[in-house]
Amino acid sequence: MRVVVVGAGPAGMAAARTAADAGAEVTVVDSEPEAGGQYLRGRARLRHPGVTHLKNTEAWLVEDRTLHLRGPRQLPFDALVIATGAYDRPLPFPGWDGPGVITAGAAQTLAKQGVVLGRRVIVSGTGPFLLPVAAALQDLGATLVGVYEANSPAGWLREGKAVAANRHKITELARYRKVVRHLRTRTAVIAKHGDRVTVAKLDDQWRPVGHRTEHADLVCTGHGFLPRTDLVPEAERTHDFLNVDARQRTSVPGVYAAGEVTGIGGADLAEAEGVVAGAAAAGREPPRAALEAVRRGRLFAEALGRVHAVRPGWRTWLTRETTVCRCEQVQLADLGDATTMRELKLTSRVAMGRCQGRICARNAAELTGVPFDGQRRVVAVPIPLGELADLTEETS
Amino acid sequence: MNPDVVVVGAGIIGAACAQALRARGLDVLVLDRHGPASGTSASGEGNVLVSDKGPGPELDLARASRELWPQLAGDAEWEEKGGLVVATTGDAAEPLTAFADGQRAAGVDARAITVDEALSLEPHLNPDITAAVHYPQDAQLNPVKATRNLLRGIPVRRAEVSTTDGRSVTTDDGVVSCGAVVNATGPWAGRFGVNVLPRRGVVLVTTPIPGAIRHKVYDADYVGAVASGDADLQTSGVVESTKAGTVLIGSSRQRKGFDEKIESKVLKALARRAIALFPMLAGVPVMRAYGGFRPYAPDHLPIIGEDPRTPGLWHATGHEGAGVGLAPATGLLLAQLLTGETPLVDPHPFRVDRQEVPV
Amino acid sequence: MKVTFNGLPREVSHVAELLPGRFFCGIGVCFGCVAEINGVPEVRACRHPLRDGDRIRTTS
Repeated sequence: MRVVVVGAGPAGMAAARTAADAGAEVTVVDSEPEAGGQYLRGRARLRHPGVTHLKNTEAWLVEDRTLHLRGPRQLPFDALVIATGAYDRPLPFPGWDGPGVITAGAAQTLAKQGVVLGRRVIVSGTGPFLLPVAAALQDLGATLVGVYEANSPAGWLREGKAVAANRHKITELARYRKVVRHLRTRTAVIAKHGDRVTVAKLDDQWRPVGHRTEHADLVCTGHGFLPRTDLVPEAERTHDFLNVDARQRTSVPGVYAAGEVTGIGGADLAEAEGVVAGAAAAGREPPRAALEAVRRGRLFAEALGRVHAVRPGWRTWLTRETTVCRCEQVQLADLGDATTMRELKLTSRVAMGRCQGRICARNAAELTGVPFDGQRRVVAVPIPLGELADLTEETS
Repeated sequence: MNPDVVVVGAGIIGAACAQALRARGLDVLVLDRHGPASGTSASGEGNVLVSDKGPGPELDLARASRELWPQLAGDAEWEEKGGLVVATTGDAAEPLTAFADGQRAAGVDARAITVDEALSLEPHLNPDITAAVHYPQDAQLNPVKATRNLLRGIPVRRAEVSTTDGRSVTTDDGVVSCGAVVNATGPWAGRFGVNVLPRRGVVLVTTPIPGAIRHKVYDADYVGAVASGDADLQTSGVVESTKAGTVLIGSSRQRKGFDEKIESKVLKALARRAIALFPMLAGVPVMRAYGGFRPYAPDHLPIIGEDPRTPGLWHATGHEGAGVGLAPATGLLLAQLLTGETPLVDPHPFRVDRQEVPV
Repeated sequence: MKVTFNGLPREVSHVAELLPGRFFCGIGVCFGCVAEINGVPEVRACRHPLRDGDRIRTTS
């Protein structure tokens, strides 16, 4: 049984270990130099009997039962586990495409390498993930001007069941006490010009109801997450997150998914999903404890999705000249009146540049009312033509 | 009020038919299950070519269309970039120049040039080419914008058509009565009684390298692939830039129904062909691949005319990979036949009741 | 690290310091940081561990 796992974060590592323990021959493919993913970057180790770890390796195509890697190189598999995670969704506002604006995830990644790109820093967006980012920046000596949560945490009061099943999540938050005094809710950065940052108080749909100016040289932004699903463009999904059954199976035969690529619920849920996927991929019954952890974690994930959803009022933050697509310099006024995603792309060039819509497509769809079609990118990462020309003829 | 004509399909062909009919004072309604240019029209490179057609009825249609496009394209990024066709082997040189001689006799501006001249037109071209022909008339446009321009002022409704009797269409949103129906559903036209099948094509898109490639450049094998109906994978090298500086690389042809899967063997074959034309492309990354379905008839000629079995039902389909280039003359020809005007080209070769077309 | 950025010598500890307004997602998704590094085009600079002597050129 050959199991290939893409991604070496909490979900991928758990899937790999579980599948190997079940007797499968496991290969983990990961684009980073060390295991751990974004969450455990630099703090994890993936050494396990039966697991081969391919570092610094990007996968670009799943073709039947073969995974194509950069190189070129091909890995045949009997089961594939997609554990590629998710990345911050940035919402556009005037100035978001200029200097001094990065995603919260980028700030976190840099902080783990001891780098802060500003002295006076704002973290703005929605979700509990903003707090560890703010704490990491503060630990490195940055002045925290504010941590702005666009939603109201009062939403959690309606989520008693999810909270009761995940009490440890609340204790985790206590770790970030020292940044909580900078936390302002129903608040967001809605413009940045130089170091002048417009901070707005929002209504419950995120429409600004008043604003003030703060001075900051770095704004870190993250309005939820978008999954990295490029390897399985045809898989069924909900809001772009992969649909999975109780065995973590996707709609594509032989392909499983685990972790944030199926929904946002934190590292412990990702790990539990990894255990379930790893067992199922190796042809074993998943351990009951992991299935129970997934059930509990999903309660939390669903509550998180409700309380920290992106509200439509963000669309009023833009002016006609605000950049929507950074790669192709497409402004709000350029989007026009298309009715399908393809028409929108080919008339405005939104999502047609290097990022291939990974950053902007969802936002462009919501700004125009065009149905978001999940972005069918066939080549998951850019691959030089010379490498394509060198592909061996027979796959698996 | 019921329309005079219902056009089924809002691709480039349906849009051109609707535009020409409306220009004759007819009240036109366009129906499409997804919206303007959501199928084949948006899956190609927006080619308006005369270079790939030998003397015959399709070339006549292409030349007529080439005359019409500049007035119709509007803001659809019309660019008279010119085509450069090259032979990459010694054996291919003579057939290419002979093909160009025939085209020249039929009125095409086909200029046989030296390898040095080809290299001055395209500095990154492989200097090992054996022959080259320059076609200044070849052009390109943005097919989605062009479709929208043609449809300006014409109602387009989202609906899926299940059947038609030539006097009405039955949709998932009720029945629409009308005077005539135009089947412009491209590769899906077979459901209305004509033998049109999909032929898969894949295009690679590179990261931007602005200015590096100036013309539409292709190897002479393209000509043979268009004319063939073989199911197996056929590829030829077709390379050109977009205004944004990305490079589009085609072309592949496969008969595999509506299977959308992208195969690595197709990507590989396209990459090899492109590098054979422009060696420097080996280092340029592909950031996207996309595919589409070309509608083809058994004899590889468009089908334009009234269906003798179902009076009132007209077909405009089967343009294979040339729909964008042939659209204006197709729309005009169909509108002229439908209103009883003198047609701009001989319609006989495109008639519906030719061998193997009616099903 | 002593590097050459668009032809000029610079001393930085991280590639992000060279790419204000282009370093954005930090994990290779947004392609905002694409640059030519040591002659290799289209490198996502955020994924490149900077070394002494690196030559970085932004191309767009």
